[in-house]
Parts: sequence; structure tokens; C-alpha cells
Amino acid sequence: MLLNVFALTAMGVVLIAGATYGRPDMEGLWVRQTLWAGIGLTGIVCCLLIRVEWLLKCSWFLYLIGLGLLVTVFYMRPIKGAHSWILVSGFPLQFQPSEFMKLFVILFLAHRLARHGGEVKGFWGLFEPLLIGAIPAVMTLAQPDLGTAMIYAPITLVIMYVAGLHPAYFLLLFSPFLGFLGISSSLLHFLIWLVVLSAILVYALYREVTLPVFATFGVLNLGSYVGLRVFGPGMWEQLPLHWKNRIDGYMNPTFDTQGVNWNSIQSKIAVGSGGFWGQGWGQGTQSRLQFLPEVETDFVFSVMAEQWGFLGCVIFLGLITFLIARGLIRAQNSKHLAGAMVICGVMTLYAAHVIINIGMAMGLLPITGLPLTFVSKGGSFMLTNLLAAGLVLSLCLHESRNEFRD
Amino acid sequence: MPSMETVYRIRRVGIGISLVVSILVFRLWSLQFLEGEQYLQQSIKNYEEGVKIPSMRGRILDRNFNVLAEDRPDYNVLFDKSLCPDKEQQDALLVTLSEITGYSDGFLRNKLAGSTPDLKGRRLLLQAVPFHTMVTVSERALELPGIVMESVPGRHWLHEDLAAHVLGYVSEIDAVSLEQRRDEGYRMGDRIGRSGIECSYESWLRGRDGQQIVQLDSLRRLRNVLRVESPAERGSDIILNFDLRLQRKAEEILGASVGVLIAMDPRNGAVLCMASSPRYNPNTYRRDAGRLANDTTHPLTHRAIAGLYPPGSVFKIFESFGLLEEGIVNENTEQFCPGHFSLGVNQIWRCWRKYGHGNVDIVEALRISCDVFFYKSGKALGITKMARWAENFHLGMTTGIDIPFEKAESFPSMATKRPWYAGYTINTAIGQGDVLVTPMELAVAVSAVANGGTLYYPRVASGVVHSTSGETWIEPFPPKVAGTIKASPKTWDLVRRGLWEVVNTPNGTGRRCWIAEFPTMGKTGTAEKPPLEPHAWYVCFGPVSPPVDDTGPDKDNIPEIVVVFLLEHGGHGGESASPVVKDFLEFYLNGGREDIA
Repeated sequence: MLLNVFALTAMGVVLIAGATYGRPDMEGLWVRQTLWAGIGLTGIVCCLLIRVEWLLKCSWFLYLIGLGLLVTVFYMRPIKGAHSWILVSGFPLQFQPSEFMKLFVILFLAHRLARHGGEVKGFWGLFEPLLIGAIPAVMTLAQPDLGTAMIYAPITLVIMYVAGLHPAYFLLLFSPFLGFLGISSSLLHFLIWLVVLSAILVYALYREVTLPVFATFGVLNLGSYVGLRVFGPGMWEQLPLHWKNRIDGYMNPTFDTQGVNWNSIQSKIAVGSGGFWGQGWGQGTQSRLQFLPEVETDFVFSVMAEQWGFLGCVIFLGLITFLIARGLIRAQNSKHLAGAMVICGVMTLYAAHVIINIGMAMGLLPITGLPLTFVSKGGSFMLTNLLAAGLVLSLCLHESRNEFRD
Repeated sequence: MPSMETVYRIRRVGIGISLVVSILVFRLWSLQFLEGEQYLQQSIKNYEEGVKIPSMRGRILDRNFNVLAEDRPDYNVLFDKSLCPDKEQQDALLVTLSEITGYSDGFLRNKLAGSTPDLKGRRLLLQAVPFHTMVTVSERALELPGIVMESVPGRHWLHEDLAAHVLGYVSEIDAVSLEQRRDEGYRMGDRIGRSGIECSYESWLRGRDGQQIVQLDSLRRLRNVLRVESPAERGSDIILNFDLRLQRKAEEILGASVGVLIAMDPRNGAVLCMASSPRYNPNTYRRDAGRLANDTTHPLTHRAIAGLYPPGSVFKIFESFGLLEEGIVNENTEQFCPGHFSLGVNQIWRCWRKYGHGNVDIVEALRISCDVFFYKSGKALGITKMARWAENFHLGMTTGIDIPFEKAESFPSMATKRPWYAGYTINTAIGQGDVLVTPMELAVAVSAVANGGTLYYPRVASGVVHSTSGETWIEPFPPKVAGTIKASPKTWDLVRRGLWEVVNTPNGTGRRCWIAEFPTMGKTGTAEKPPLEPHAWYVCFGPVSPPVDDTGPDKDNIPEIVVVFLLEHGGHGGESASPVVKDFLEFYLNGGREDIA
């Protein structure tokens, strides 16, 4: 598993070097990436030395520190309009607490949910993990960093699912979104809403969802429907312009190819023009002639597709899928529930980044700006991914030495 | 210990992730294989751009292959912001540049702000700077970071204002012409001939611009030249019938005065020189345009082909053909000239000689340019026949010369002017009144008299130099006949005798143009333009042999040169115009005659 991580990180550094080749404004970026990878590998070694069990025990403390840092960023100078970084004055370093926060959330969630031995029930059984995930997500969204904020959702939900939450709860969780049917005034949409919602609620009752939970979701659903029915049409106008543009662009891919859809189209061109073998390292006109924006972060996969072609991309996807599969298998075999949940959380983190980033690059998802695991530029991001791998490796190591006792 | 349920759940998470990843792989495969070629084409379309390689215009040469106009490198001063991003440094640089070039730094700053960057991200500051400026800027390059020189082909007329009207000028194509001539491959920023030879032989001179494919980045900056699609083809050279020395002499003779001097070969219509004064300098035309347009002497008017003047007594030559051919006069007809002529009571026309000429026949009338003879005979001929004979000589029509913007005014007749009074006929009979001709019309008509009746299209250009695949040959433009004059030998004899005596008798009006070794025939003209001084005309051709009766036009011995000279408000043709023509003819005889004849 360690070799797998090595290989992915190495691919990432080589790709970044290729993506920034001939770009004087990004000279030496790959050196910095290598440096961060080195720091990250040291971090893995450190992780191996400490026991994750201990980390889980003080995870509430880490979580609080993380929240504190997320508050601190709002007092920092914004970079590119976002309060995402903590700058240490007089020190050429800056880091994004929202990245490390993902690890703290995984650890804290695993710790809390493992207490009941896999039984997630009752009102607080549902809402406590939801809140643990939602608080940092909202704070990250306020920075604003939509991409990173979104990542908390799959992590929290997957850990809750692994912890044993009944699928009925997931149906309940998603039911308020049905309220969007209320935007239109047609009777048919109302009937659909009524029937589907009733089915979900009846199913939830049948699955012995407790009354407070049931009541909460009843109110939530009614609220969302009525709210959207009343304010829905006006709400669209209230959305920030760049959100509207992105949604518009995603809905109409052929619309305004010079404006809102430019990035998405250029990215698809980059991916498509790669072919099977790719155009070669450091080549590729889309990235080199700057038709493609953000080649070192959000659209790094497009560069990979352009320069390394189908072959390179499949090797990358193969490696990361293999890593995730290995991790999940270890989680299955783990005798330690919290550890299993941590591994699942980390693997979800990897998978979510890969899926959203690549989906964006290929025009499957709207552009939100999310880096690609092990590849994209960013010290905090690189370090977080490697530390996450370190946690998993540490868990596996200690597990194999039978040090865990439940 | 996790339950079996947990294991299943983890497995389902894994299956879910694998499913999504396989969707991604499928999408990747679809983008790169199914639509790969299409996206590759789109990426090429993103960066490829055709860029013009400007062609060199062909040269304009005189008959001895002296270069009159050619393309030479012009030096443009450009500024590259990326080489000098510092604002303060930019200001200092503009001050230094203004010291060198003499333009104020405010002007340069406006230029910089107003220009859009080209494909290399550079902004045009100054166009076509003088050579010494180019040298100084290059020498002081270290003080001027970001200032770049670029050489582009520019049109240079080597003899400044020499034959400016004939050669014409070149400028960047304007929006209207661009729209009209888009089919011919003109594009924004192309140069196009605006007048003279540059305009009429544009298609030869222009050459063909080449095309190269370059690679641009997303900010439309040039990154690379990918390939040359087609090399630029140099335009063909145009050879003129002009003789540089004659043209220079003609312009020197005119000097600062306003006038026209045309020399033409009556054997084929070749224009040997064609001076019009005042002139302009096509090299600085763009800078001077405003001043030239407001100049009261109208330097932009090409007087030789667009200046309309009453021909005065010169018209008597052509009228004589009419009088003789229509049987109004013969060799024996005499008219008495008392010095004036009256029609009715109050209308009196004077002869130019106050006391009259006594009894004159047609030969003498031409020799001494007796007005009364032509008043009386012209009245008998009538305006309709007079106009027909003028038209026989193509007076009142454009000559069809090979440079544009020629003018002509219809010869007056009952068709052009109603009601027609008898007095008009009298005025017309001596080339006054509403008769307006261009000097070139007269040159063509006089050439026809000289060569025995053939009207040629006057031609400034004699041929085009083709050079393809290393081989060079000249395609001559053959002479073209525009019309012929049919008159009896008797008529020719009498008119020729009259014109002979103008120059070769002691009391002929053109005796001041007499040259012993180069016998000529000629005619003076004095076109009244009250209250100003009259226009002075002199037309002549030579060499001629003394006329012998009953031989008709001397078809074997056609003269080699026709000269038409006009001095605006110059006074009497015999006194001010003919000596000048003598000067010109003597220059012709002493130099260059062998090359021409």
C-alpha cells in the first residue's frame, strides 16, 4: 500500500512538472511539490510511530483545534478572494486548515460512532455525526471554498453508513430535497411530492425510526416544500452570479462557449485531444498555450489526459482504485470498528476527490474547483492526503501486530 | 469486532466507488476514442492562425530602367511592455525616446495608450521613422529597454515629388475599398495604390501576400511559426515610357510656376514626360494631406489630365481641318482683318492685334493667329460642324490614358447649351468661351496632326517585367489606336504649311521656338481668362521637313516628339510659352534623344 502511494505521488510530481513546463510564472513548482511530498512521507513515518487508538481518544481535542483554526482564517488576509489560508508572518509558509480538518472530522466521527459498537439510533444518534460534519463544512463554505466544503458530505455519510445507520435514515436525509418540486406550481408535482414523501415516511416508521426523528423530518419536509413554494422562484435571483452562471453553464453545455462554459469546453478538448498515447510529457497545446486554466490544480487531470493519454489516465485510475480497494479490504478484515471507519473515511476522501475532479474535467459535473488526490498543487492538500495514508498504514501495521483489543 | 453487517456495508461502499470509477473510465474512453479526433481538431483550431507575410510591391522604372518607386524597409518603433513592466521606468523611457525622435512624451504616451498589442504583445509607437532615428534608437538600446525596432516594407518614391501625379501614392486600404475588393484578396492593413500608376497597375505591382500558420496562446500571443503555407510573391515591375531626365527637365522648367508640360511620341502615343506643377511629395503624403487639400494652388490636381483650360488659338489647328474639309475656305480664300469683328450692333470681338492683319488666307491666319479670320470663317462653318471636327480630334473626350481620375468637358454645341446664340460660335471659333480641354487631350490631338491622322491612346507605362522561376522577360503593352482623322491631302498641306510658318517665318507667332538643326511645326495659344492674365499655350512637334505642296501628310517621316506646354496665367503663348519649349527641345536634342528616338 505504501508503494502504491509512492507511485501515485511520483506520478503527481512528474505531471505537475509537465503541466508547468515552459511556464515561467510556475517555475519550480514541481520542486516544491517534491518537497511537500517529502514532508508528507516523513509524516507517514510519524503516523506509523503513534497509535491511532490514542489519536482517536483525543480526537475531540483535535476537532476543536481544527474549528479554532477555521475561525482564525477569517482574520487572515484573503488570497484570490478566499479566506482559506493561515499565513505565518515572517515565515514563507501558508496552510489551509480546511484540509487538515477533513482528517480531524474522520477521526472524531469514527471515535464517536464506534462507541455504540455500530448501533446508530435515536435522535442524537443521527444528528450528532451530521453536526460534526456540517459545522466545518459550513465554515469552509463561508471562506468561500465550495469544493472542499462539499467533500465533508460523502465522508460523513459513508462513515455513518459503515457505522450501521439504516438506509431508511438516508432516505429521510434526502427527503427535504424533494421540496424542490414545490418550485413549480403544478398539481402533478405536488401529488408526486406527496406520494413519494408519504412512502418514505411510512417506510421510515416501519423501520422503527424513533418519533423525534420522524417528527423532525416531517417538519423539515413541509418547511422545505412550503419555503420553496413561496420563496423558490425569487431565490434563484438571490444566488450569487457565479453560482448561477455555473449552473446555467452545466445545464446548457453549448451555451456561451466563450464565457461560463469556456473552462469546461477547453478541458474536454484537452482530454479528447490526448488520444490513446497522449501528446507526450510537457507537450499538449491546450495546457502549454494556456487555453486550459488552473492546470496545476483543478484541471490537472485534463493535462494528464492530454499529455499521457488514455493509457496514463487508466494507469493512474487503476493505481488509485487499487489503493482504495486495498484499504477497504483491510477495513473489512479489521477487528477494530473505529479503525475500519477511519480507513473507510480516508478512502472516501480519496475517491470523492478523484471522482469530482475527474468528473469536472470531463464535463460530467459542474465546475466547482476541487484538487486531484496526490497530484494537484498545494502543500496542505498533499500533506493531508499523505497523513491520511499514514493513518491507514499505521492502523494496518498495528492491527497486524495484534495490538488492538476491543 | 465488526459485525458481518459492517463488512457487507464496506463492501457496498467499495462496489459503489468502483461503479462510479468505471463510469469515469467509460467517459474517458468516449472522449478520447470516440470523439478524440474531433477534439484534436478543436484544439488545433484553438491555436492555429493564418498570418500574412507581406509581399514587396513591384518597382516603377523609367524607360532606361531608372528606379522611380520601390519598396524599402521602413522602421517602426514598438514597445514591449513585458520587457519593461516598471511604470516609472516606462515614463523615463518615453522621455528619452521623445528626446531622440522629437515627438513630445505626451504624444508618445497617448500613442502607447491608444495602440493595441500585436501578436507578439508589442504596441506600435511610431511608424516609419527616419533612418537616423532608427540608428540612434538602436545605439541607445540599453537606455531603452522594451523598445523594439521592426522593419516592414514601405513605399519609397526615390525622386521625391518627381512625377508625383503620374506615379501616384500608396496607402493602407480603407473600409469601403476593402468591402468592394475583398474578392481580390485584400485584407485589413494591406497597402493599395491610390492614384497614378500605383493605382492603375495595382494588380501587377501588388504581388501576392504569403501566408504562414502560427501558433497562438489563449491570449492571442504568438508562440511559434508552425509552417509557411505560401511564400510571399513580389509584385511585377512596371516600365514607363517616361524618361527620367526629360521629366526632371520639364519640372525644372516649370519651377514654381503653375503649368503643364507634356512630351509624347506621336508614333505610338507613348508619354515621354508629363510634368504638372505644383506637385506634392508622395513620401510624406500622409503627413501633408491636410495642408495639400487646403492649398489654393491645388497641388493634388493632376493638371495634365484633370486640369480643364480653354485651348485658345491652339484650337485653330483643328478648326482649320473643319474649314477646309467642309469647303468653307480653300487656299485662295482671304478674309479682311480690320482688328475687330462685329455681330449686330453692340457685339464686338477684337483681334489680338489691335490694328488688324489686313487680308489673310488660312496659312497666314495660322501663322499670325489672326482671330478675325477664324471669327468670320467659324461663323460660316457653324457650331455643329465645328463641334463635329473637334470631336474628330477627340476634343471634349477623355483620352483613355492609363492613369486614373482623368477629366473632360464636352465640346460646346447646341446639344450642350440651349439656347445657343451666334456669339457663342464666335467665341468657340478661337477656342474660348465654353471650350475646355485638358493638356493631354491637346497632346493626343496634336500628335494626330503630327503623325498624319492617327489618334493613339496615350500610354505612360510601356510594359511589365515578369519574373517566374528565375526567368525574366518584359511583356510590352502594344500601342492602341483610338481613332483616325480623314482629310484630303490639300487640307493637310495647308494646315502643315500654316504650322510650319508659325515657327519658321520671321513674323510667325512661334518663331521664338525655332531651332536650326531641329525643324518643328507649332502653334501658340493665348487663352483669355479675364480679369487674370491669359493662359499661355504652346504646342509643337518635330523634326519635320519643310512642307511640299500636294503631298498630304508625311507618313514616312513622322515626327518623333510632340510637346504641349501650358503656363497658367502665363501671358502670351508666343512670348512666354514658346521660348520655354525651345529650352526643353534643346535639352532633348543634347541628351537622351538616341534613347528615345
